[in-house]
Amino acid sequence: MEFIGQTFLNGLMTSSFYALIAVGLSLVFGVMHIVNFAHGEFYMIGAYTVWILFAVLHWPFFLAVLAAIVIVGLLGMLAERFIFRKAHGNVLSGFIMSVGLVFILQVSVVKLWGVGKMKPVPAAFPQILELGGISVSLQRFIVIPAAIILLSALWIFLAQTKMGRALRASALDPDAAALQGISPEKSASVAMLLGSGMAGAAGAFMAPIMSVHPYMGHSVVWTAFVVVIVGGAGNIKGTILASLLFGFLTTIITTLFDSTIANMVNTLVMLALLAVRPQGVAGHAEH
Amino acid sequence: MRGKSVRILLVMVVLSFMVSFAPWASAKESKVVKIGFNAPLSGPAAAWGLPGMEGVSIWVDKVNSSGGIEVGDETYKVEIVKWDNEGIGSKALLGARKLVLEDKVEAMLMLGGAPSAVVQPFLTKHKIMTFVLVSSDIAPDRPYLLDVTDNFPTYHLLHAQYIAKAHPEKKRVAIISQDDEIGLSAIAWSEAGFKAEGIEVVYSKPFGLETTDFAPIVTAALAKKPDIISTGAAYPEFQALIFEQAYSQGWKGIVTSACWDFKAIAAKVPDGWMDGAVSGFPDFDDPKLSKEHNEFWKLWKKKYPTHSFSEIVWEYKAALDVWAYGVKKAKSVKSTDVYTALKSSDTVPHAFGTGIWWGKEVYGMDNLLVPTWPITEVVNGKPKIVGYGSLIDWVKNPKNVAILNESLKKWHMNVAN
Repeated sequence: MEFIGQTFLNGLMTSSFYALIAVGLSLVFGVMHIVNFAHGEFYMIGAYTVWILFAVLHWPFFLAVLAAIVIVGLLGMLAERFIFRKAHGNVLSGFIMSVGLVFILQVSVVKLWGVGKMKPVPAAFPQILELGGISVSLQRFIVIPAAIILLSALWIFLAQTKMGRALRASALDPDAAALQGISPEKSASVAMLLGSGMAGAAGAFMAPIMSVHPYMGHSVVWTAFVVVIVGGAGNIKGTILASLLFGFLTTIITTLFDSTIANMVNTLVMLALLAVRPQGVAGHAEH
Repeated sequence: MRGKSVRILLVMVVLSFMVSFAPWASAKESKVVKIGFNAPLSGPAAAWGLPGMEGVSIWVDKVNSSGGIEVGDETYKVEIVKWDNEGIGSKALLGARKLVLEDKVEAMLMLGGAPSAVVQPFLTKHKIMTFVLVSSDIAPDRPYLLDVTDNFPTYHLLHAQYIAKAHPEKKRVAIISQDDEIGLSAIAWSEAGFKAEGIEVVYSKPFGLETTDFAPIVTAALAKKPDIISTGAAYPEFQALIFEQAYSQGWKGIVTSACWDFKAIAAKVPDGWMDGAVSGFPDFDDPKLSKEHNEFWKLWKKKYPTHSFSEIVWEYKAALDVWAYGVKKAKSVKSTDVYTALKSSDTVPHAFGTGIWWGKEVYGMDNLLVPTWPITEVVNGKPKIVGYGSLIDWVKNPKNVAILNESLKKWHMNVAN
């Protein structure tokens, strides 16, 4: 029973992490139609921000997280303005530009802080939570409420604010949105701010839990893409559902077998779901 | 015009004579011998390469400031040429080619493991003696590969022997290490060690190198109710995350491993959690070690006051000590001469005392230098020597050897006989 409970909690934590990283990617794709491979590097910069501000300069953890969200969000806006803007709607150009950005960001971090050993980020909350015989560190547990809060805030923004509705309109039909006076450039800029900020948040919360190094984005960006593809590119609800699906799938298979098999199964599930529902788990088929 | 040219010529002749007979011209000129340092200086195995440069640089400074190594009538300064192979075979081969063909190194320092398999055909062809820290790299088709410092993975046998004696109530072990040559060697030897002591191996499963979240792996291991967790030779960054999970999932018991990166672990678990952990690498300020060890510790501490000490700091440097011993004995710096001189010695000074060549029974070549190995336990966050173990004595027991061979076969390791 403890084993099942522990596995459930592990799955919930992994799903929350996947949701944080994938929702931002999905939002950017939905609005800008750009396959942003540099999303993993935004995640990495979020983790580095926490390493510097929290582990080295001893800022309060949540302040460091907030700084990571703002810094990475602004970095995303700059990337949109100076790199991706010319590639709006052109998936191939955007993809190639994002690969270039991956190298620029990785090399910049290597030049600034070296590569060497991983950057040690201590737990801000090392306390252990006992939940009915299941133990989990508070540091790890807070990823779950953090994901719920951030995703809810994003949901409210998209559903309740004028700017959020404009973003959704741009994602649904950019031409019609433009005719309604919604600036595609402004929508793209806000989408990158929010999407990159979410990646920064994911990196910030995972920094004390995972290894912080310049190449850490590689390992998560593939999973994020699998989640986004299955959830339906640009579909936030579908992305959250897919995060839950793959979070639990990865956890259960890694527990029973190993992470290599988990990655393989994730990809097979993605291919199988695409064959059955190419529009994603929560998308609507085009007629 | 002609007279002027003759005068210039005469002046040049006189000057050249002066230079030839000047006192400094008769002084012995130092030559330079180059050694390659082809190890991971970045990536997950960086903690097994990067600190090595610290010890090596202290060694080189000491040797060169005292004039160099005397080889017959000549003196050689030592130059280390480093190459970051990131623990990747193709990069290690690229580095080996550069170091041998361009830099003309006479010996190579390497971590070992997967890159060895890629690099060794090239180094063997060029007869370049290679010192590794992984003895399971030794093989008959790699005659110039020696392990003269770290006895990995053989000391896992001695750790298990010590735990069985010091903690007889601990009867179940989980072994968690990564799925590569180093990790699998550690699993195979650890399994043999625990089985030989009658400790049940309840979990021994390698994890993929791409693993980022260790919670599911540790959950699976803890479901088997282990009293002992061995992280075998998990890369330091993996090890810290495994321990963090073991701690946060509420496990208490004895941990053992080939080695520790205390700085990385200390960031993940509270003070005192590592106390009682068993390994084989003391800090060099341990009073049970020699004056030379303690001197090295002081030099290192002075040069790198904020760094964390690990065995990697001294192991590559200790390989240079053995190389220098071979050079003096061979009266040559040539790779094959030094190799012959070392291998023709029945005993060779090892960092932990007199070493003898061993390995034929398991690796097919006696290219592992084996001393009596210290056993350490962590006390107040610091490893302290609590005893010594002998691999040579361990393999004298035929039952042990049978268990070892069975385990090596199970994990597809090389078994010579």
